[in-house]
Amino acid sequence: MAARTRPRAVSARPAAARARPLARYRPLKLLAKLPRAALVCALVAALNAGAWAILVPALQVPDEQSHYAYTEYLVQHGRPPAAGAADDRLSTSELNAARAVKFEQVQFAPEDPAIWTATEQRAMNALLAHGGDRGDGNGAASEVGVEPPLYYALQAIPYSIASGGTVLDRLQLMRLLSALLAGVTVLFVFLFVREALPAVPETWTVGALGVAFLPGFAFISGGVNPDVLLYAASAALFYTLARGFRRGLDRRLALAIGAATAAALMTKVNAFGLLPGVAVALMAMSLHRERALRLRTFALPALALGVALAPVLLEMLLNATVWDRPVVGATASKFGTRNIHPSLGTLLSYTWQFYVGPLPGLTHYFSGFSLRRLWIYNFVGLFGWVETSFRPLVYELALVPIAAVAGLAARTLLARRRRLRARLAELLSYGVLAALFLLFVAAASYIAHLRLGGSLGQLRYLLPLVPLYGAGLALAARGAGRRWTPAIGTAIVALAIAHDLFSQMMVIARYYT
Amino acid sequence: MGSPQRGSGVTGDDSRERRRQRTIALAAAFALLALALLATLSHASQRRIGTNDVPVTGQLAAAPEHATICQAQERIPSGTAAVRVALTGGGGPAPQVRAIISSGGVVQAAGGAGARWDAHETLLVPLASPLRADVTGTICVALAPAPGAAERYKLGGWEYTLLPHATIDGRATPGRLHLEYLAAGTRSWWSFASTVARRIERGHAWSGASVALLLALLMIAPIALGAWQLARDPER
Repeated sequence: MAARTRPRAVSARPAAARARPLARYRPLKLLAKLPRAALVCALVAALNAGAWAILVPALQVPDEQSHYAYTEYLVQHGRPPAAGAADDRLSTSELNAARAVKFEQVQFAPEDPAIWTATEQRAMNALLAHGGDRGDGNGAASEVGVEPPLYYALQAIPYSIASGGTVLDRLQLMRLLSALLAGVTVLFVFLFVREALPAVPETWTVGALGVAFLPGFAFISGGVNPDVLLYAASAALFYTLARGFRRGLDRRLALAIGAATAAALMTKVNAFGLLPGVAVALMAMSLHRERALRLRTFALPALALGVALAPVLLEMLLNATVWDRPVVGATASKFGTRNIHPSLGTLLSYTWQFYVGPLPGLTHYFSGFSLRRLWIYNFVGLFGWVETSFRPLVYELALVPIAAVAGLAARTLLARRRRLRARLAELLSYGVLAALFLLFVAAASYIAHLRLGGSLGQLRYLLPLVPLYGAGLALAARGAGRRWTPAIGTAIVALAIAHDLFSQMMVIARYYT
Repeated sequence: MGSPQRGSGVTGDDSRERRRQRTIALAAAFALLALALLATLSHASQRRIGTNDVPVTGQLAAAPEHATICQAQERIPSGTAAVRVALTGGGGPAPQVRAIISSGGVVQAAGGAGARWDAHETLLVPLASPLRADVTGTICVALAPAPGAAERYKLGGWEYTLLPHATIDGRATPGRLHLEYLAAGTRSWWSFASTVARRIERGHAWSGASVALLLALLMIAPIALGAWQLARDPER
């Protein structure tokens, strides 16, 4: 695929940037170079996640108590927790805070509200004032001890800034950092859509704002959870890949792709599900550049993958020598395959059923069609500890706009199938990347099923692919033809806004009424 | 996918027309959103003024068709006009109920007439008159099957508690029963908004009106900003 000509919208940008006062200040130069629309979309995402960060009570975002514990352990002990512990032990300070905010009573219990009376507030303040030892926990080692330390190292900054306050002060500041990372994700989603679908600029905003107002994304981004940084790193990865496909792979871009992948790998083990797809995309770009398979074809992909894996190797070295952790964290995780006997056939059967629905003649792992009962429900809205939901009718009615948007996106692809052929390698790369990542999540869920009888059927695990969702919305905006693109695009964003607003109201009703 | 729009025949008139289309679509969408909000927030129902913080993690016990369920050390807020009990039946009509709230052996409130199954797998028991002050005491609910119906009732609650367990006919169950306290009459979300705002102000890193105000600002600002960006010319 030939590197295409830089569109005017991009080439004209430095001049525009020069005209902006921001560009005069060196640290802000980079920001000033970015499209203003991208920055506005990023700000929208950060503010929206900020709202979720306030309205969801402390520790009511999935696994938030474990991620806080990991950060606390990192700050208190100067190293990540050791994976493989038999159970989680929170610090006395965090346990007191958990009791103060009625964590166990509210978790999984939609019938129980958050703290709302003056009596409860006084009791909460008294418990928080009691404080407690911050260093006697094990960093929730059983739950999250295998995770790499990048997100937690970042969260150590707000944790330390609010060190003199209560657990709630630290948690709130950490949530705000997550909200800022939501802005970074949406910024890269905008840039990805701009690179991948450059023809109609007004749809770039549609894709980015559609992600910014996606309630499942904003809810997780309002909590302390490494998924948030994984979304940002993954969005950066998609952007750099799109840039490589559009402008050609060079050394600088290979380094950028490697850096984005490294950030993802150092954030969460799930990022390893992206790695094979990245390798495929890099090879596709390099093959196009070299026009044949020769030794040089592997040079830039190897550079990118080397950059991506270098911090992982460093972490493994530190695990073995300084941190007293298993060299490969995953071996100590509850997703290991020791003592269970998964097979490829059953994994594939499980994967199909995990995402779509039952297969005749095979073991049924889920009741009904997962696509509808699991994923549509997750997409429309399951909040808190997956116990806060709309009335069932809402999920049924939501099928109409979801089908309409999907149909419009498919229509755009169909109408432009000839042009798509010219970008087949790029499309296949995104497809392989997404498919292998989905397979990775399904495999983890399958192991969870075999080990614990559980499932990882939550939207948050799929959101590293959110740039593709943004691109899908941008395509849908063009589905009714050029004439109607502004109206359809606006309607899509308005729908996303309504979805987000009613989700927030539902969560307010759940915790405060 | 497709050639860039700019520089490929998009005229100033065309740009203005597309901007107009976006503005109209935005205005229509926000009008619809406002109507939906109006309809939702005008919905009136009986509102909770307190719960006993006991989650429903499963079936606590089963009560026979004639039973008296009691739970001590309940804090019942002033203004309580009905009690919602985590109790489910087998799908038949609601049982006949007699509820008594007492403190120190003195009856503070009683009721039960008009008890009905509620939407959330609970039994709603109205009191004859609302409580005039906060009460810490015992709630007892005596059940008798509705005419023609005979069924056992399942109690929802939690086993892990240091407080006295609920009893059925004097025998202790393995835990406490979930109870909710409701105010008299029905209120729309509009009239309930100030109460909700006061509740939101609690349980956070800081408290006070600024919590609810900041939340309102953070909910409205991204919508306003997003709409503004959407209406603008995308090339800018």
